[in-house]
Amino acid sequence: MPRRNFIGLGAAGLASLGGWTWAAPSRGKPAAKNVLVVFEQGGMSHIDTWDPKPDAAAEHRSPFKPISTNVPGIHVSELLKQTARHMDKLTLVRCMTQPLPGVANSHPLGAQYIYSGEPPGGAVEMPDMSAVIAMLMGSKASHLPSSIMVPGTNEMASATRAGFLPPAYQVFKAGGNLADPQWSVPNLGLHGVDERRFRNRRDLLSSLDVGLTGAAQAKGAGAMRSFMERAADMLTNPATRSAFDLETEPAKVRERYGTGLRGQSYLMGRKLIESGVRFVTVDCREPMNTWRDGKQVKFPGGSNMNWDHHDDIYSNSHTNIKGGGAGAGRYGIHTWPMMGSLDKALSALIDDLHQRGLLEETLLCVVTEFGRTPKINKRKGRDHWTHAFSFAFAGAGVPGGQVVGSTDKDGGYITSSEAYTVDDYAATIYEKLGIDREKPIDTPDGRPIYLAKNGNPIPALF
Amino acid sequence: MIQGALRLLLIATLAMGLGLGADEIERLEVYPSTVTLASKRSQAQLVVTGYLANGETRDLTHDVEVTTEDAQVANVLNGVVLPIGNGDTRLNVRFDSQTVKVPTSVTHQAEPDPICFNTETQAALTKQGCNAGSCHGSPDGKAGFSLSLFAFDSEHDLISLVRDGANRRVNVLDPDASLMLKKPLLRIPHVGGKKLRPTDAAYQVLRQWIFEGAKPDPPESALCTNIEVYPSPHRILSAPHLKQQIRVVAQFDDGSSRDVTPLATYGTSNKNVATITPAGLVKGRERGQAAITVRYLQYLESIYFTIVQPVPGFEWEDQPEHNYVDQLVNAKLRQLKYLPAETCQDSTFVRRVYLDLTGLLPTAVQAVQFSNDQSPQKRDQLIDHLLETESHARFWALKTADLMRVNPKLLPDGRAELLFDWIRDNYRENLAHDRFAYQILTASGDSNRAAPANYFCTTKSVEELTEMTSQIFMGSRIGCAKCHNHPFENWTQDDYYSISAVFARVEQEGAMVQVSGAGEKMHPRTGQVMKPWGHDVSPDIDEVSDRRIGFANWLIAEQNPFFARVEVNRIWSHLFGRGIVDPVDDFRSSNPPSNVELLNALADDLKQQGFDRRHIIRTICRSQTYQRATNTTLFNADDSELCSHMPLRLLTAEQLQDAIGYVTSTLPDASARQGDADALRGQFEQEIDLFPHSQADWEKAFLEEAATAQLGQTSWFSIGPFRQGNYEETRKQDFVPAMSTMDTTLQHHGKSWQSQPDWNDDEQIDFSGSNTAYYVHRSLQASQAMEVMLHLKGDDGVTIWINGEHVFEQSKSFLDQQIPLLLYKGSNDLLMKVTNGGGAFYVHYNIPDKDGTTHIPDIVTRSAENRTMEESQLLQGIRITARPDLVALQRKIAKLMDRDAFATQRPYPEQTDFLKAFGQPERESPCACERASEPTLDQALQMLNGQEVQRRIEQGVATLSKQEPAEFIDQLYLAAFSRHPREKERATAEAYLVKSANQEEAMKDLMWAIINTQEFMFQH
Repeated sequence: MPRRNFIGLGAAGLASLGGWTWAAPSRGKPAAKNVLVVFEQGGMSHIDTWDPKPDAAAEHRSPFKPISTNVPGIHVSELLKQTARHMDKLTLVRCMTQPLPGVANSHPLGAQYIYSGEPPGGAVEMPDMSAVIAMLMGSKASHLPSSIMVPGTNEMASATRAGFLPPAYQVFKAGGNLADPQWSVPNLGLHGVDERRFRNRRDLLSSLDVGLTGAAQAKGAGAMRSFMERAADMLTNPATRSAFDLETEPAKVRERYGTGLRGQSYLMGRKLIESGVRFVTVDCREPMNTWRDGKQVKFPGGSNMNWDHHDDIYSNSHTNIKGGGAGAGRYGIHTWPMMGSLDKALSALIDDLHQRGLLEETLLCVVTEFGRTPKINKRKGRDHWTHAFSFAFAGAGVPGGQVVGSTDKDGGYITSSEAYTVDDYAATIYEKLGIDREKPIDTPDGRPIYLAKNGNPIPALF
Repeated sequence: MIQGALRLLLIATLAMGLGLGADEIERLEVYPSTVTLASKRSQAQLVVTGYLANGETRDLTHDVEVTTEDAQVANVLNGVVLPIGNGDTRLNVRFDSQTVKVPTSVTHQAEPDPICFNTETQAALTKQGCNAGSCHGSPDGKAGFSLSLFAFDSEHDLISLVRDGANRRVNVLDPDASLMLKKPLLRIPHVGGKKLRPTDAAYQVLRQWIFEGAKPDPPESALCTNIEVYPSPHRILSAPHLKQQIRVVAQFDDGSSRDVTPLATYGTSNKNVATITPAGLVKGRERGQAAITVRYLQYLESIYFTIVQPVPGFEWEDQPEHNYVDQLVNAKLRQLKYLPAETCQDSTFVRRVYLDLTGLLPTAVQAVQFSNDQSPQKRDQLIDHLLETESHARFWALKTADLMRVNPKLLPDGRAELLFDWIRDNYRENLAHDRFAYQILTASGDSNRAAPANYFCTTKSVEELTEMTSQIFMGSRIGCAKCHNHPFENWTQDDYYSISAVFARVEQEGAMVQVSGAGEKMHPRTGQVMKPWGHDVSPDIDEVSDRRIGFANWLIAEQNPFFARVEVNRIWSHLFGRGIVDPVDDFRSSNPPSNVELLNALADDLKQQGFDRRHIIRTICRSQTYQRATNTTLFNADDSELCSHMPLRLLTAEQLQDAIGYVTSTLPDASARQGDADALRGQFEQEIDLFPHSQADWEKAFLEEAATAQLGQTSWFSIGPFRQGNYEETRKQDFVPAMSTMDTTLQHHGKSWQSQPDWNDDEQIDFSGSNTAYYVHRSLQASQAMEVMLHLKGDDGVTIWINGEHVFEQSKSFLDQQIPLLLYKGSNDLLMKVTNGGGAFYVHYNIPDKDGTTHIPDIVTRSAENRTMEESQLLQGIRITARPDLVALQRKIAKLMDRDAFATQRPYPEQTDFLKAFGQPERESPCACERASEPTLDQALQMLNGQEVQRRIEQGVATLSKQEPAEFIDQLYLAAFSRHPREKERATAEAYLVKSANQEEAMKDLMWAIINTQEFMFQH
């Protein structure tokens, strides 16, 4: 019997027996070495993407039709036309749900929930999963941070936390617009000085930095020195530079992902995983003024183009309905800066990870805070919907061509016996990495903390 | 069967201690001095102490020979007295030639002595770890079996044990078949592993309880009220005598007591120093100090142990002792055999004390000045001087403001600055700390004016307020007790909600803080209405009084165990990078101070000096302890808490940014600004002093001009829309700062000001966008000072500033109002923010009477003695603003006093990437730990390659490029390290500058290298 918290399911009788049937927790095989999370922030409409609803009432139905995929019987929205060709590598979980609408309905709290795997507001502020994993598993590539966010410049990137862990485990945010031909990681690409001069400077420093009496014993001084060395190495190590250097990718590859911010961010996700980064989060949205094909382009009227489609979700350009809830500035879901770029980037990412054999050991998760209402509102938009939405997974032993769970004909409520929360998503990641969730980590106050304590791994992903 | 074994052992003896010479022991003492065993299962742990001639103590409990005079009454095994039959007898406790007689009385042996669930079964479950947070005591339990954390909820636990688990957890017919025994004994698999052995005292209790029917206690059962621990509060164990038996007695509300030594739960704060067996035998290990904690039910006591070990070659060397701080620190060092470091050099001292007291490096000039000063008192003099500076008041106010969440997100409309300024004024005037706390905790009113009332505006709930107050003023993290009794301290859930009851009547609405006459706090589990904490200290406080007064009086009372100790400990931590109790806001008996005598002496001093914080800072800074070098030797290298030497500390985010500013010459000298500002202020005041001489002439001219006073207005500018979350967030957020002079060429959040020549007075101006805000601005030209009435209509939120001053605000509803505006002669800048909560969105602006009201002329017409103080001040203000020279002077002073460019001097955190990387707190938590102090990779990247460092170096070298290499190097070293370069350093640096083709670039390289040295980044 799987070790679960039966109390939550109302099966009190079983709960009380759970203690004496001795069963080692039925952990799935820990097949993952790395995690790549694509966090499409804002609450992506599940109805228009992973969970099409052709039988919904006409006035609320998505104008985009379901299409077949390369797995017979599985259909997705035509907005995922290219991704549909890789369904054989994906598991779609259509029964994600959010029992805590108060938390999950909020973008900052919902985002923090995705990062940490626990609803914010508990007695202890939880660190991000990426921070916990960095602490427990360390890094395979010492020339790179063990957890990186690409680009990590959006407003919700401020919901990342190291929590009670030392600040050294805080996720590293690459920053900038990766579609900009001049892009480099702020502070990680040398600026103002070339490499030769930087080496000169370091030589000068080492001849002047005689150290301090007592420094050998001081904990902080030793740690700082080693961080300085690591940082200096990163700044000059060709491996670090090439890990972040999109120019090292053939033009064909760059085009395959799409040459806007989304495509290049997804590509960077693959590059960093390939370079040995333990945990990569891609969290991007196209800005109004951006680059495509190395040229400056503009999405007129676009601002904060995430998935928060409260108004005019099917607009052919930007949304600007008066009193449109989240305000003007989103682009219609089928336009290039939205699903257009996503479908291209995601299909390229799955294919590329697969071609390179990276899917073997990389768990790919495509997630969002929540879904959107089955009904179209007065402003031609869809509002937040926490009862049912979809995540997609691939790699690290996740079966391909599988759909888990189902929703009713409007996409409003879950009809399957399974239903999973963000906690379950978090538990899945930890278990895939082989992290023992039975073993608590302690806060500095001595409070034992269990990882994803309210969650259970999603069995179908193992 | 155990009974049988006991009968055979009438005499308990143990091997004599190692090399224990009987001649050393002067006196033998047995605790308790009489033994009473009043029930069948009772027992008594003896603790035998030998006193040596030099006053030291030695535990002889397991070294003495004990005999009973009547073996039919009692029996002694391993120092534990057990009853045999009713009667009186004596124990003879003998050590060498000394014998102590212990009268012993045994009663009630024929009566049953059933196990008590609340006080015995529960203690047994705690002792075996069953209800720990990592096991069944976690909120959801483990494997479907849930117990309350450390047994705080007996009702829940009883149901869980007896009724849940398909009735298999206890089996009263066959106790040994009970799951609650079989699993921890590992007779069947148990994920938690083996937790119980048949020989454990807890096993006897658990099994017997089941055997007796697994019953709840009868309603009249005695409740535990306290525990008494012996020895207490402190013991020193010197090698090789490193053992100490302890004894724990629980007292009950029926007057009875019971020896619970085998059932109490033990822990240690440092297992390298001292450990304790389940039977209560402490074993000393490495030298150092540790708290042994004793828990029984919700009661927790600690005994502090000092373990002394020989250190080969150690010989104490006297260091100068400047005051009691040194005496107490040295006493501890000497006891634990650490050698204090020598006094640091002048150049180290000057840098250290400037950074600690002002947050800023000494400038090159100040460093040289200090090193040239020949006065033997120069260190004391410098300390005194720095304590008087504006920089000191601001930098220390920053530390306090960090804890009180002083940030404009929580305190908008200038209230963050207001609260900061108030805290700064407290430091500047050195107001007594008890008054400071009292004023904050009892503050109410409009927090736009009543600065301390803002304390109540940063929290969302009474619980948050409870936790913040406890953490700041009591150094106690009582948050745990919100849901369960504190696992490591005596704070209970009752205490938590009793403190909450103090704040239950505080009402906060927008900027208003009020105390209402009603409102209670209920205990969440029992539903009981809680009495407010401190009500018994101030019994004269009746039902309708502000409960906060009783709490504040309790807090600042002489005998309060927290208040003074917490404050001196914070001061100590600011000066040494580590508190005597550390973390500074985690005072609990299980987290012992590294030097309790020192902590108490500082706290007593603070109280005796009328809570004079500056006195304590001065006393500590003057000590040799504070002035020690960072050098370590064989005899102190491994000390990190007794202050044998000064620890290295990474500069804080703000210190580092300002230090880089000084070294690169991109920040002006703060102390020079202070002097300049003082001089200008003197000049300004002289001019004001001259006013009375010409007052009559001025008044006459004013009244003449008033007859023709006129108001002109420029056309409008607007900027927007802005948006930040929902309506209320958008309304509160300052997107455009209100300045005394608005600059419409500036951009705000990526938006620019638009000219609106078509907007007319007395016409509706429309906007669009739900939950968005616009700012509009125009200048009002007054031919002389006047008050006009603005007739404003609008929708939802409107805020108005005149010349940067907040004059009007309304949050939500339709508006149609006359608003008085005081205008000075000349140009007045009007800024208005309009926020829409939905629906129509407009303003309608008109000043119908453009020659002003007669209000000001009325005042002038009256004679001086018939004016109120406020009216006189108003007239003075009007006179000043009519004098361009004085206005200019005022601006100059304000500019010199404005320290926004200094990270260490700002009212609230700037939160740039650089500052964030180095751990600048956002000020969202009352925990000192919000300021991260550990090094990170991000910091290293910021230093080596960050834009802040690069920008400052570029700017700095641009202004310094004229300097000769030798001078440049010398100034750089003085600014960075407060010392001249050593010969070798000078040679290296000069060679680098000389050989370089591009002098300026080489200077940048050198500056970069200096900034990246350890000597720069660390305080030493």
